[in-house]
Amino acid sequence: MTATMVGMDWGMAALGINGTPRKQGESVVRAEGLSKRYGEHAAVSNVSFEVQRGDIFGFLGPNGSGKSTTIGMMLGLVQPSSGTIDLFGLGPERRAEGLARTGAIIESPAFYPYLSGRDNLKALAHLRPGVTDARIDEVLATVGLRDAARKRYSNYSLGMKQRLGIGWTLLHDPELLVLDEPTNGLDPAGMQEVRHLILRLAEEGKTIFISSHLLNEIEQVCDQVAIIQHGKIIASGPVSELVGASTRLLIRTDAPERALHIVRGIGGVERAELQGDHLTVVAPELRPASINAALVEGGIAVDELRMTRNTLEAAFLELTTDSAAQE
Amino acid sequence: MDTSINFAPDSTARTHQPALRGLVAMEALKLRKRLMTRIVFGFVTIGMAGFMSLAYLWVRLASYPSAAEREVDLDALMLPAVFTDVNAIIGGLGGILIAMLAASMVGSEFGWGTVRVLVGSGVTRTRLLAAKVVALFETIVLFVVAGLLTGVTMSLAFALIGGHGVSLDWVSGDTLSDILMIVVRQSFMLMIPAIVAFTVAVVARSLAAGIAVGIGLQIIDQILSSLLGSIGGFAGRLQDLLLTTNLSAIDQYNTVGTPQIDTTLPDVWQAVGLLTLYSAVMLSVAFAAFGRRDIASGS
Repeated sequence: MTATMVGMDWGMAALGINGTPRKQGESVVRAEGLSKRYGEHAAVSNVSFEVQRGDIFGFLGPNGSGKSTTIGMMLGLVQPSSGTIDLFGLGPERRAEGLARTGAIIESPAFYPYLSGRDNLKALAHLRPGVTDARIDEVLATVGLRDAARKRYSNYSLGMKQRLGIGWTLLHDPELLVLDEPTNGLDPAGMQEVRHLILRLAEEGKTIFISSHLLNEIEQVCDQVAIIQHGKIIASGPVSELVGASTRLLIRTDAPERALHIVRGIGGVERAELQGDHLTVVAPELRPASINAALVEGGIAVDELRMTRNTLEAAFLELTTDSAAQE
Repeated sequence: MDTSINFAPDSTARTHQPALRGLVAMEALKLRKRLMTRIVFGFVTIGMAGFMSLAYLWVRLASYPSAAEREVDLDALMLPAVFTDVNAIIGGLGGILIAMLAASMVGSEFGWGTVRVLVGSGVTRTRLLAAKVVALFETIVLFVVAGLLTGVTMSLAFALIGGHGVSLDWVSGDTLSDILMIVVRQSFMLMIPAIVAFTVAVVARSLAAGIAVGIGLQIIDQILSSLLGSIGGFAGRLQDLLLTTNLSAIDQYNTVGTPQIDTTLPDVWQAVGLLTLYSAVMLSVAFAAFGRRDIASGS
């Protein structure tokens, strides 16, 4: 544990995590044709995705895109209008069994405001057979709330509430963690700790499903993502592929407008825009050298041409903007 | 790093629902620590002590035409006659207080969003609601017992203060059975407004709605009962379907000794049957609503 970890002890010995052997290809969450309609409004429309054992799966989408409704259907809070979402390969009729192997924070952490952090976990532990008082204390120490265990939940800061929420999900050593905005309210050190925890839990074989609007966080921990907008999945796959799919070139010249005209005329260029004194070009099928050659041939002196490292945030914005434009 | 396993939940437990008694214990813990529960029990104990003290002072200080008449009223505050008044105070306070507590057991879960945690845990909704109902019934019984014990304690105190002496001559198998039946009957009677408030809170997903209807219905029912009773005829028969009439039919038996039976009230078993039917219908509505409804954002 480092000094920056502000009291949280994410060590596996303290967590007492049971290492579950990673079985590649084993489906932990599978949604097929999942839809939810409220009257005429389709909150979720024909959503399909799969999370395999050991995945750290990021579920992204703008506000109101259908993330919470999808998670609600996963956790049995919301009844799908059509389609299915199975946990551990168990159908809807065995959802309770699947949820017993799942720990979840749904939307914001919600606990009893008049109870202390410890009493909250003690009360809710009755939902999880086999959880002992010692385990409750252990989890409180793990999430850095040992000293605040007897403090009323209503007096907790947002970060402390979030930590208690994470503690609740870990209480019964679940195989699947569903974390909705798990770093919300945490300071940078706390966010880093949660990141470390997620990575360690995944190493131990846990499957983690994270919904977050903090794309940088998702990019750092997730290996798979799905992006949902207006209730539909608009992209999914490995983070590296999503980010790589929209890798772009930055071109700086002394005549950017002429350069833009030339670049737009090159076959294979998906997008070219003038941004200030430089161009950004999306052309995944072309080598940068061929674009440089075309510019030089057109009489443009290229001062700078480099590939910019795309971020998930940029990919997300691009995908969601494209999707919105198509609609 | 030591990654030894120091926590291994029972693997069979993972695939089974928690025992209902565990869920009832969860509800009991939440109730025990809750300010509203303490207020409710504070009212029935402090309120009972207050009412009885006022009654005792009144009897002691008021002017009576004769000492014999004062003695009659004083006797009503002594054991075992005091059970009748104590029962009336419990019923009067309990109708409102228990309705509030019952509504809060469900309404607050929606207000705080904790219903998402409960349902998202995988425990079936039927089991979650059943645990609440059982915990509510247990709380009602404790409420009645707390009220009775306070009443008995106050009565003993008045007897000692007033120099009446404490006699246990009245204690017998029959009188103990009467006291036990007061607890059973009063608990059953308080269940009715509790179930109304509970059901409305579940259906409306609102604490305020549960309290408002739970208390409001009792007031309206009493007014309606008086109106129908004064009209008579067919209206009088409708009166027999109201809560107030049927509760009164049961309540008249809540005494130690031989009760004075009002023959205009419905038969006690008919009243028990009708109120049980009402309760069953309301609970069915609550279970159906809670079992099927989506628990969406903010609920």
